[in-house]
Amino acid sequence: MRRFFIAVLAAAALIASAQASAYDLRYPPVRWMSDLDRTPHALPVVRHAYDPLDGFLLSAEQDVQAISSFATGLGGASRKHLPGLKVEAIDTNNFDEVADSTWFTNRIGRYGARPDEVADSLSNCSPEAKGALIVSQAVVGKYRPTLLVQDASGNKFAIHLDPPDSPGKISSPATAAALILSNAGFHVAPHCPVTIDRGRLTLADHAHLLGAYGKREELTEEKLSSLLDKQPREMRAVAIRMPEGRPFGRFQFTGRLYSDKNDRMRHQDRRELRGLRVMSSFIGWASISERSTYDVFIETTDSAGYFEHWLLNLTDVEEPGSLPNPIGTGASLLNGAFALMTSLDAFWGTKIVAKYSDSMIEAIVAAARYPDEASAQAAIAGLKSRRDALIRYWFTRLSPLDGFALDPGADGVLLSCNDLATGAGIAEPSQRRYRFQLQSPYGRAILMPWREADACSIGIENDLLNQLRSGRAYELLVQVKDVGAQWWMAAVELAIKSNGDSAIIAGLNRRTR
Amino acid sequence: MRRECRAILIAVLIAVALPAWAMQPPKRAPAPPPQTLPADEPAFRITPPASYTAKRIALFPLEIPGYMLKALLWPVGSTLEWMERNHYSDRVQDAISFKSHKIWIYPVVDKSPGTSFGGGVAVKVIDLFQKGDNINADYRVHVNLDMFADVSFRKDELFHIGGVPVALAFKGNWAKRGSFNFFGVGNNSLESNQSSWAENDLDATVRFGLKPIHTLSLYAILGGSATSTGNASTQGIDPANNPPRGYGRWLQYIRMGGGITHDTRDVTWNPRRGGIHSLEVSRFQYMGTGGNFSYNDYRLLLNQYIPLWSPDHTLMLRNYWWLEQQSSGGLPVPRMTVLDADNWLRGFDQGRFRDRSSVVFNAEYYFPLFRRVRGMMLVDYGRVFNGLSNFTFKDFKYSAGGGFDIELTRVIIARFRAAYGGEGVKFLLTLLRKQP
Repeated sequence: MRRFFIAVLAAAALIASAQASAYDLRYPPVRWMSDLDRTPHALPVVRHAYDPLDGFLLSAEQDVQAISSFATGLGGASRKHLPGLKVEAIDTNNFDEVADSTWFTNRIGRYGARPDEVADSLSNCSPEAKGALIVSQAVVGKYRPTLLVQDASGNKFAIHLDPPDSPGKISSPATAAALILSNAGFHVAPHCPVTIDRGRLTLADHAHLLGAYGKREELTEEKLSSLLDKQPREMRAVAIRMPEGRPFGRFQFTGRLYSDKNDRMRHQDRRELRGLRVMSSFIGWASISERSTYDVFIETTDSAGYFEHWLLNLTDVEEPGSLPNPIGTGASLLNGAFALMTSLDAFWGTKIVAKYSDSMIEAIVAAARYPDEASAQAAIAGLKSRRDALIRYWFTRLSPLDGFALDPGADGVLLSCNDLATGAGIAEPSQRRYRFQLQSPYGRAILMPWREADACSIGIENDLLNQLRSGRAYELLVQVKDVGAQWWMAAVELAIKSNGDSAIIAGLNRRTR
Repeated sequence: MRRECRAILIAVLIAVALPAWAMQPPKRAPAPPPQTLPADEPAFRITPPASYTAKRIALFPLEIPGYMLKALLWPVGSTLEWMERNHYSDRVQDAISFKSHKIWIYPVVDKSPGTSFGGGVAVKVIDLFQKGDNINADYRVHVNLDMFADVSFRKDELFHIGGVPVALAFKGNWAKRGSFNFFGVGNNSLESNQSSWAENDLDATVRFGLKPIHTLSLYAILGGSATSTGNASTQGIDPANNPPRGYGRWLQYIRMGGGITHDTRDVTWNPRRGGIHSLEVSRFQYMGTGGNFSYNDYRLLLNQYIPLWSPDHTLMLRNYWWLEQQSSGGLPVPRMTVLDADNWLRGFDQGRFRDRSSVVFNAEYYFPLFRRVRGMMLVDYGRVFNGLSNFTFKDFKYSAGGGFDIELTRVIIARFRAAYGGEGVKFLLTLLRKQP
């Protein structure tokens, strides 16, 4: 019994120690940084032959079955719900932001919406307008054929055809969704709505057809004609430009690829993959799973390189319709990363979603070339309503204060921040109250008691700064509430470091309760 | 005592030293940032924090049961993955549904505790008349020549009343058992008193349902059923020479009644949240001769699905009350409620407990094992009793166990359960099609 007691005590100590070190400032005080995950290593052995268009062979219905089960036993309980044991995403920096990596590169969250550049981003994602398109592979999906073609410049594209009777039904939503995710920062193979003349299609020497049950057979002119028999001469399709590099197969939303030496953390603990749940809710991508993913090996030398992780196929994005479940996609299509999404992950995703202004959404829908004005307007309305639903849900559950900055003031420094809720229009600036408190780590000593303000801005005097020990991190708590509300929202803790008469923000911790 | 002190000291040291270790700046690779990264930002090696590793170590014991189960079922899981990779499940599925997925012909397997092994064939026809209809039929024969057949027909919109669709559901069952277990009546019947009789059952029911709102159904029941028993064994209780009420004759009934169902499940197969709550009241009017065996039948089902830490992990709680209110002639024993492996008390043989009423509480925890394999653990807790006035929360029978469901194809499920209730481990194996 004593031994059992001691073992329990030791485990509790281990957990407590882990918890105590949860808010360490492990990285330099910069909000945007890159992860060194492009270190070259040898190409791993490919265990199973992989066909780039494999994912197109599966239907959305099959995809439900392909969701990986990620956890067994009771361990998941503690990871998600037990206070102190919850595992937050581990690829974030001091400011709760995701470092740029082979998985994700911050774009709209960092640089803001740029509607003018949306149309330009599609300039190089469609095949050459003239010349033959050499078909090297065709896939007979459950509903529609997909062709792998090469244009005159040698670029490869997956051409996914629209239904002959409803052009634009697939290509437009897919293009819009790809633009949204790539502007967010995901590595999405560029999707372009195109119209292709059937006469331009020419068979490659060893073209093959991936038919039912993955059966591989020679692709002949007759088979190609039979595949396209109901299509008009000018076929509407979405052209997906294949990422450069050696195809390596689909990536998993759980676990690690151990042969990838740069893959240092389990995928379900990556914030960008967890937060993708919110973004998939935004674009209406309910059937997201491994079949839509694509790993390529970028060779830097003859024998070495690194992996990049892509989203390849967004052709099953749903047309705008009902409002999303605010916390993510439908319950039946959850993968391991989505299931472990915490409120901080969702907040991170929602911050990005909120960056899609009305004009940005309209520019994206215009670039997606919806077949008629009514469907374009429906798409715009659907995206806006999903965005607003996500914002209303998550910006009212966690403190929506962000974009903190410390600037030199007349007599000390001036702290300012953005209230994302007022920026998104769900709160009235005149009805918001903010308060600030400066304290030593863990609140052992209150250096500046709560001070209230009408704006998210406060001055910290030199006298106060001089009390801070150089190099040590102090906590500045910032809270917000609506006028008349009883309770303040959970605080954002800023780690403040002083160097005499100046100070910097070294990191932040957004409390969830 | 010194040893304990030393251990406590080590624990305290861990508590103090680990945060200090975790606060050390991470060792960073000196390699310069590659050219492909944005040039205006610093590059660092993002690594899991020490707290993450510590938590994983501390929580590892909770993962052990899952890993053990996974190891146990690894051959099944890897075989299924191989099948999936080579599209074998699709081939089978297309073969048994003629590629149209409208007409299905597929095998069924059935092995319950206390019965022999059986198998047969099932047919499902979807939208035969192209009016949203659904027909199911199956036939099973066991090695001891027990035979079973089920037929059902369903049409969700038969006609409309005031804009509200009226659904029709017909269900017919036939069972011919050469040997059906009988242990006596009451909650304390002894296993050693096991005897058996031959039993024939025929049941046909039509339900007309209304759905005034999405989650609520009201329905009327009209049907008939008949049961006959005979050829009892002479071991254990001797029904032949000391016949229970209603034994050795045909018991024929007309059934009339109604019910209400509140269904908030997210999906009908493997729900993850929501529940189904129903109350059904029926009058079984005896139409035979030689006594008045009419009775009223009340069934209350409270079934709730609770998503746990992940939607893949689900807790199912069920409570089922089945009360039979006898008329003056008394309730015939062959028509009494039964609590056994087929009625959610899975650690006991078929026909194990029998009385005028029964109640059972179930808790089932579902969790994923492999892509197409779902594990589960179960606890059953129930008893039979002689009417509500005699009900107490004492003498409940319980069983506990586990099992797994294997999705051989997208629609064909192999289900295995094992449970223990103090009378040996009972196994249940079925091959079935996903049904709501």
